Amino acid sequence: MSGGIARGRLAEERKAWRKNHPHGFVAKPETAPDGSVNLMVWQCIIPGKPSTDWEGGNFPLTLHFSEDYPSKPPKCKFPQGFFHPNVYPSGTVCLSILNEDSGWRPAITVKQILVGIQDLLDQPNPADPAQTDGYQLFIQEPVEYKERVRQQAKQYPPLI
Amino acid sequence: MVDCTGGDDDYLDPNDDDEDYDAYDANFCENDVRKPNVDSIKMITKETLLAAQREHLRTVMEVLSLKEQHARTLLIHYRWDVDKLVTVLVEKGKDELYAEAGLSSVEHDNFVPAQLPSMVMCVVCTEDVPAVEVTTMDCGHCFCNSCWTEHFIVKINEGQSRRIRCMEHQCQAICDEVKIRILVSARDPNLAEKFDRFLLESYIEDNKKVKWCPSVPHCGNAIRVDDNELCEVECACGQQFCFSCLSEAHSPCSCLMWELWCKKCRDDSETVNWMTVHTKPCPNCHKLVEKNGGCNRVQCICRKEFCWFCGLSLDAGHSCGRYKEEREKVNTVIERAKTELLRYIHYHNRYKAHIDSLKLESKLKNTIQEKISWLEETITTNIDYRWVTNGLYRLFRSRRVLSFSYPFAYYMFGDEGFNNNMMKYERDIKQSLFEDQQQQLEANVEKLSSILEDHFDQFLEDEVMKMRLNVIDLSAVIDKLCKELYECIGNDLLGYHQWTTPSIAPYMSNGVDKASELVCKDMKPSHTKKNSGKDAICFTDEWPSVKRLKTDDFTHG
Repeated sequence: MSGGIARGRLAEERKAWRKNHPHGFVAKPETAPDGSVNLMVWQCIIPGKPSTDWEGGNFPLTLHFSEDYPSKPPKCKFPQGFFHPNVYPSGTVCLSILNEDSGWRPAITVKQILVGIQDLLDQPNPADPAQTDGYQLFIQEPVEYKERVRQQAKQYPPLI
Repeated sequence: MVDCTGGDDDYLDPNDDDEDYDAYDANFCENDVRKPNVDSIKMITKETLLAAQREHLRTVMEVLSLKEQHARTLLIHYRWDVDKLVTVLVEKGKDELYAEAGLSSVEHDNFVPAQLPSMVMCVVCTEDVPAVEVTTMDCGHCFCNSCWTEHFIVKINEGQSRRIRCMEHQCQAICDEVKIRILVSARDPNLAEKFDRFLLESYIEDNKKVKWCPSVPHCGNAIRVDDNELCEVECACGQQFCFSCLSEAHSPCSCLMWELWCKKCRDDSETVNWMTVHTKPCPNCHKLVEKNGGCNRVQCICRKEFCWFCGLSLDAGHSCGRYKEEREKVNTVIERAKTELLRYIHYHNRYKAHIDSLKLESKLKNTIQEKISWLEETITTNIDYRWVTNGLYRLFRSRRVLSFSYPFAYYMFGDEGFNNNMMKYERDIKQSLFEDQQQQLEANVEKLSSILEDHFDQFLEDEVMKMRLNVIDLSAVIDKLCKELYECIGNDLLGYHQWTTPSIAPYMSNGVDKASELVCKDMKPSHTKKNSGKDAICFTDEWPSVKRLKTDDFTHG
């Protein structure tokens, strides 16, 4: 079975997503210039939640799946330097359900991952900081932190 | 009772009290062969590992009327601490106890899951599979056997056999080991064996009362300590170690102090520290230069001249006179480093000297044995020479104690933060009391050492008897002084602020406790025989219900 199920599962994930997905979210496998589809890398957009400082932002996120998926979680990356206490300087998201040693379960869907990350945006986890900049402002300068978040939301306006 | 004003007077006059040491001698001879500590220190081998945990499993199975696999899940979570488990049961109730450990719906013994349709969609691989090829865990989540197997294989290979959770999002349930075993062995029997071994070894890995023997190469044994975990033990393989930190036995030095000391000795950090402040690199050849005269215009062997204050070349235009403040700082740093180094050297020399003496005295063991053999062969009178070997053993014991008392003193009375709550005058008093005791012990140990080196094989009978009395008496005194030194350290010094510093293993007059073979009530010969043929211990013998089970029994069709 190993080596087989990642693509099959991702194809089904894609089908399920097209049938039904939360409003404002985008998730689709990467398409090469020659038109071929790479199911192992997905380009996604996570909208900031309404009536939070993240509102209005459409944050690009890339999901990298490995051949071990769904035994192992995908790697989820925002653009490099993304401002958030739980995002590494490389852009990699640090979230318990994405950690194979704690919260990751093979039954977690792409939808659950994306919604989980949307929740994380407005509810950072100070117990698990991944970058100094975002963490220190969040802890010490709440006003400045809010301002930076709003600025970042403006940096990623809706595509249309 | 003991004069401690100094010098040779430190040892006791052996002719003080004749009756006492005869009694001591008899007593000591009796204890000469160190008896295994049958009460509290047990050795667990590969063969007895299953029996060792069975007792705990039985208790939990009886108290909660559980199956063995569920009892094990609970015990792994509560680190094999039955008392802790019972406390949680009493304080929080059964539901909470099970929920914390990830155990679900074990109440109804014959759990019959809801009837499934003939085809089921597995959400992990998104395939439609016949209902006979899916497995439902106790938590009620159902996936296809293939996906479950894959999940288990990944987790076992990652060393997480002991707590494999369900595949469902946010489900905290631990998967039933029986179902795991059946699915995995169908795909990879070797991995299933590995899984069993990991479960067995949980009793060692997840248990603060059991630790692997640190011998290299590993003897394969583990040691269980039922009473005080702060102790020193000896495995059947001969390895002696501190049960708390697994390094060599180091009392009366505490674990933390011993760790710091080993590190310090390893990287010789004092020397490096002193060199960095006491020498300066030549600006030309970069070799370290030490100043040996008053002049601050230093010349390196490469003939380069440079300024000692700023370390720069004395070429035209050099002027650093204005940095007076900086210079004073440098001087105090130099002084402090030098004092600290001298202090370290003082303690290290003594620590090392006793270890070296111990090594030399180990050779004495053979010499003495030869002398005794010779005497026993040539002299017809039946004289018991055990007092010599006993004296020698006392010497070895006390040498170690003395040696390890130096790293202890180095940290206890230094500026390393081990005496934070002590006033300066208080510290001085305690230090001097400690040093008095240490000095008395040292003087008596040296005396014993020199007596034992005597050529008693050439002595007349009354001389031998005199030496015997001396050795027996000194041994008794040394034993008592060692005991007092431990008490002083444990109660007065470390005990002074026990909440910050761990204490030390208790003094064992007859040496480190030997572990005894574990004997369990239910270790019947038949049981051993059953398992002896196999390397991995067979669980299924104990589980009639499991033996019956085939994959179909808990899948649905």
